[in-house]
Amino acid sequence: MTAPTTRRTFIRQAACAALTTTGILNTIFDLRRLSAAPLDTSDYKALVCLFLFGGNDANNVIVPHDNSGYASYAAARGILAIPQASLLPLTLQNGDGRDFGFHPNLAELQALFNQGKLGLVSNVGTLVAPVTRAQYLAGGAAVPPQLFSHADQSVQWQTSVPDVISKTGWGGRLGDMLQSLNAGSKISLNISIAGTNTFEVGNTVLPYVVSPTGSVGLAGFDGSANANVRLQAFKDLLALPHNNLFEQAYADTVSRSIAANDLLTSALAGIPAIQTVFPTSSLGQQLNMIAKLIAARNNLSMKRQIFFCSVGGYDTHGDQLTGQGNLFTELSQGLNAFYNATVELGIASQITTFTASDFGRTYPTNGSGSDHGWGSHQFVLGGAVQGGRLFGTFPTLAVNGPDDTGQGRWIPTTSVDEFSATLATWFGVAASDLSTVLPNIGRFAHPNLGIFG
Amino acid sequence: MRRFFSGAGWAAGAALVCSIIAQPALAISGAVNLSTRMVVQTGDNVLIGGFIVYGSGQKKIAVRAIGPSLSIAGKLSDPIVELHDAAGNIIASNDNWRSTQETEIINAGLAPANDLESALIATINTGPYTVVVRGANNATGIGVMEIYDLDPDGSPARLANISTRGNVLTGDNIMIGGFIVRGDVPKRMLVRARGPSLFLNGSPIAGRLMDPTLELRDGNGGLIKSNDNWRTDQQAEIAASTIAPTDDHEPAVVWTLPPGNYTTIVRGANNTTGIALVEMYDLDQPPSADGSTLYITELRPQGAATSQGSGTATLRLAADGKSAVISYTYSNLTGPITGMHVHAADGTILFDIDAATPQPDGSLIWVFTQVGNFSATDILNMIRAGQTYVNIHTAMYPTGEIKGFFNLSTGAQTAPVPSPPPALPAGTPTAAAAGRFLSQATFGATDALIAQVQSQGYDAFLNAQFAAPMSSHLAFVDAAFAALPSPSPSPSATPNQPTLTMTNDAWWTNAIAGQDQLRQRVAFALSETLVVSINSAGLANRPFALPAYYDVLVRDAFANYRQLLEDVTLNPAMGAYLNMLQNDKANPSRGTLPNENYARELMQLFSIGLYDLNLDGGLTLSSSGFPISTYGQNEILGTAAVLTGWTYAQPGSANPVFFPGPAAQSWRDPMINIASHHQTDAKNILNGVVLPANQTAAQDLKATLDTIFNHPNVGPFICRQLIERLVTSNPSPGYVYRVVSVFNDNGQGVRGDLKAVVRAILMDYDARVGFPAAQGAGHAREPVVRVTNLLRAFNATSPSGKYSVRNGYANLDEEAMHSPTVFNFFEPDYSAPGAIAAAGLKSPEFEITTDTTVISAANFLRTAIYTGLGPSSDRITLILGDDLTRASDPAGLVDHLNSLLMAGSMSSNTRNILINAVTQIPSNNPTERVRTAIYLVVNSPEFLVDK
Repeated sequence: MTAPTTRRTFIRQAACAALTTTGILNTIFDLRRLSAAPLDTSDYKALVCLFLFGGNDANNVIVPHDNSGYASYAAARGILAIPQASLLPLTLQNGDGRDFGFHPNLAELQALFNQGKLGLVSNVGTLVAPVTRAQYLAGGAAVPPQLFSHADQSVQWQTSVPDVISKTGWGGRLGDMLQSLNAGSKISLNISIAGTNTFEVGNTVLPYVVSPTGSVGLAGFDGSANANVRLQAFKDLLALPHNNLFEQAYADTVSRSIAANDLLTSALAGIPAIQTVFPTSSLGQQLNMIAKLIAARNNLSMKRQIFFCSVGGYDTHGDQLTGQGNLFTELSQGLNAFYNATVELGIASQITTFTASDFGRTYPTNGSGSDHGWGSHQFVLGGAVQGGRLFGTFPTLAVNGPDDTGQGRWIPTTSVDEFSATLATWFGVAASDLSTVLPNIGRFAHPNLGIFG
Repeated sequence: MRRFFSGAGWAAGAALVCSIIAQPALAISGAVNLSTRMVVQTGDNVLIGGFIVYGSGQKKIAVRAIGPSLSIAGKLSDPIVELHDAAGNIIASNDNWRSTQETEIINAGLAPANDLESALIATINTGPYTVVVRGANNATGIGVMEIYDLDPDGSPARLANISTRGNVLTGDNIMIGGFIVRGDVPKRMLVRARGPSLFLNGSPIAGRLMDPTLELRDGNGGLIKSNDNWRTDQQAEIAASTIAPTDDHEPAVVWTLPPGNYTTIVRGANNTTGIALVEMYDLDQPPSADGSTLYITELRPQGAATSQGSGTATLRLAADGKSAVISYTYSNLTGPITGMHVHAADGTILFDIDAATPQPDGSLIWVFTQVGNFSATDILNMIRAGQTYVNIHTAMYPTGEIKGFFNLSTGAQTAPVPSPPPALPAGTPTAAAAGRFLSQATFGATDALIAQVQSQGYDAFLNAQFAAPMSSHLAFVDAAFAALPSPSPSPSATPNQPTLTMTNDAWWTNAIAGQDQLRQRVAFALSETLVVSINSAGLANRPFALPAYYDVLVRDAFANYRQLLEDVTLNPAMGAYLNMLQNDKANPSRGTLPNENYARELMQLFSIGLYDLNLDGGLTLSSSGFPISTYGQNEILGTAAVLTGWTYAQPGSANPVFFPGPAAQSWRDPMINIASHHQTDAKNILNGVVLPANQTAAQDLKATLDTIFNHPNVGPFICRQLIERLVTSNPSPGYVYRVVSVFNDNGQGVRGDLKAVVRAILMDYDARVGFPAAQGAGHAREPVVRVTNLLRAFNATSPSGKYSVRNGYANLDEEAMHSPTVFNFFEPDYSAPGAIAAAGLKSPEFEITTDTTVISAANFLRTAIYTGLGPSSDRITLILGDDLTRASDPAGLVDHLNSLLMAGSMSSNTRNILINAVTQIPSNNPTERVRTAIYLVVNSPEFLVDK
């Protein structure tokens, strides 16, 4: 039922002592800077984070389509190479003469790209600070700790502060800053359809977890006298104070869930049904629920919302061609249906969906699949996106080339921070407040990648 | 730099090699430039030197190995030098100095006199390093190792804490170390030699020198001080340095040395021989980038406090000695903090931490001022002498709950030895104690078992459980499969297939009805660390594979962890899950490398984890206060190469192949190796071990598993998780320490004895008595355990005798072998945001305790009570039994449920609400009264937390 939940480790090593001299013990006290007023408060906006757990091999999402680029790709990737004739041609609006195609199972995304609604952020990944290949190989540079470890990299994508322990994610900090826009709402600004995660945890805002079928209500209470006795007693038990913090947290969760369920159920009942048909896949169902929640935004008194959904299975060490192929079908059909639903709701330019993933994967194959990499390409989708473009800097696809750590793991040319900052700015954060949401943004050159113009 | 020889005049006839600095003298002195002369042998008896780079930034160093140019007999003819990092990876090596960096070496003025001598120059980061000198082609002889700081003034990083290890013989073949104190200010040094305390991965090094002696001599060979056993002479001073030898036979000398050249000579007392290590410490502590010095402490329960609490605090002393920055963390106190201070040893409060305003990152700045009779200078001196402590006060312990003295951070943090816990209560257990024990040792108490434990006691119960025959999951599935009608009634007459339902039924049935309760419970705990799941393309269609794997955990639950690691590694379901199955050697022509997945998870998840751990489960911190990685990408690559060539066993086939067809594949037998698919080059694995080329896969595997198993992390890493699954999410450091000690040695010298570990976990004070009133006590019952608790408590039955629970994962977010990823349903270190995280508590189960799952689980439990779980054809029904009679007495009914399900821990508030509710149900409906009471209990917050 639930897609993979987030992973956290307790302590991380600061890779470069020069950047953090106060050591590891600043975990309990997080950034408490208060927000200034956001830029644009008039309308509604939502961000949807789709996390592809496992590390997506985006080297097979977008492939060089010209003969020489393709030949070099095929030679390097071996059995993983997608046949050239199968690639779906892309029309680049900021073309530099290069020619690319999408994986054949991404037909809907190809259409969205060519219509200018979908863009691709190239070679984005976790960074402590910009680093070159020479610096990486020399061994002195600051790089995120535990590169190539799923748990650590997933969390670093979600917190956007790889070199410091953070119990908040950048989506949570974003929610903290903007939650005043949802004054009067009793539901969290941050909603997860995919279980707990770090991305949506803020200092005050926490994710409200619902399932693809909505919030779940207590069953077995039919309004009879005995059932009412039991229900009231249950609520009385939940209202007791507890010294034990686990008991208290459980009681709070149940109480909150019961209240929110009532609210959510009536809010969802009060909206016209969405006509767009969603795929029956797990992703399709998650995005369907998100669309419904967006449709109910006014009933829920929401001006800003952040959603988290996820798909697992991207850790294609083996059997990649089949496995990834199926995942891409799910991804393409799911995102397409979601975009169409936002068009149907008349607010396509107010919803931006973006993907994230632990890391990319090795360019050469291990014989059946690929192993953990670093920089990868991510999608960004929505009516406000200047689609049909590659944002950031596309890596040189060559083992031991200028962007390689060795073994075909690309050193990111764009940081998660810059990607996130661009999204946060669109969402309504003033430039001067960006460092509250993204503390490391000052280390990078491009806090605005131009995704939204 | 120039170098010169000084022919010394003392009896040993030693040649001293050292260097002189041509730059102007500095105000800050630093000990640099180590050299050591001794006999270089082979294997363990090569010459190994070590040093630590402190501070920040990088340091440029040179290392040399000298042999042929020495003017002594028996010199090493062709030395090789290697520079290793903390993980043991070789960063650089050289055999003959002209081969790679000739120009650079000449420019540094370090060209050796003989072309066969070795030298290398490297720029390195902070951290510990070792230098190894060996003879080419395993030649032996007397050699000299030298380490030079090439930019002593150009970098804030400092070379210090240098040491050398080697084989101390007699006569000319003793160990002679040399060092230089530079600058124009005297330096306070501690020099010590180790022999008896030389351990590697928990085991003593063979052939260590059992009674080393030490001489410290000046540049003219004059004796400054000698020592045989450290307590005889400067005991107080050595102890105050916080780096006293750990064995009384080891020597140490503390001296303040003016700039100049010095040697340390190590001999065995009475001409004994053996491997020894000589270490030189700079007690003035090299400065970090901002000149500050780091002091660190582990906070542990103080005085009479019985608490699971712990913490860590650092004090970074400014270069000018006038202020300090303090940071701290804490976990699992009995309640909120009421006060936190830095004290002098006599208890005077020197600094009130919670009255200070924290910096944005939470740290506090302490500017030293007069406090009572202590001047600012007094305070500075007390800090430096290790005579200040932090303590944290709580309401329950107003004089202080946890405490620790600040000590100089040496990069060798060890866990404080815990005070022994109070004795366990005498006599046989009460019903409540028995119920509590059963909630940890089984899948749920019953009235009968409670009475049994009360009468026979814990030990007898444990012994019986250890001896009980195992319930096999594979046998269950085999029987279920064999019972399918044959031929299949399907219209297309396809052959019968085993189903995942059978696998699930096996698990639920064994958990609920198995007599080997403890074994099943421990196996389940192991399955949440050594994860294999149906959520894998390779296993969803292999229903026999999963119970065959699970049986490995059940069978080895009380065996040795080394055996368990091997059996799990060679199991085909694990092989399919993490890609070791048919993992092929590298193929350069296709550009493929061996798959890294199992290599990584074997270390990261199944044995040692990511960071060095102390015996009590805490992180070992480097001298800069940071965690230390256990391995890097190089070890992954080497281990991946080890794990190549394994494929399905093919019983009955005389000529097994690497890619057998489906009919030949066995999912029940351990994998076999096909040699032609095994990678045969040398491999770098954990701890700097290099496996030689051309070993068989079995040899490579054995060496690798042995190396991993003997890493000191395995005890803390694995034991802590077992404690989390059985007893509490937040064990006290003492509890972990005691259990890990049993893992490391079960009392009969055996490492990894799981039966002893399980007994230690369940019979420790923290488990049997614990701290039930503490705000962080216990742990949340896992969802599947709540269900088994319920079904076992009421002797649930079904028509078939099987417990086909169905849809467990969909409703509970948890079911055996259904983990969404290899990281289990929840992570061991998950800390729920809010009050739990603020208290420094871990709460793994809360990662799946969401708004959605708490309701769906409540609904699932309701179905279990009111309708019965399972398919309509095989309903699982609770037997309410005597409770139906008790229903006429609401208080009696509630009290029985308290005893049966909650080990008597129900609060009076909860009790009142339950009694009141039951009373309102008409008394002519005892079934509804009982069901109401059960529903409320199993969904109550107090039942959720097992404490």
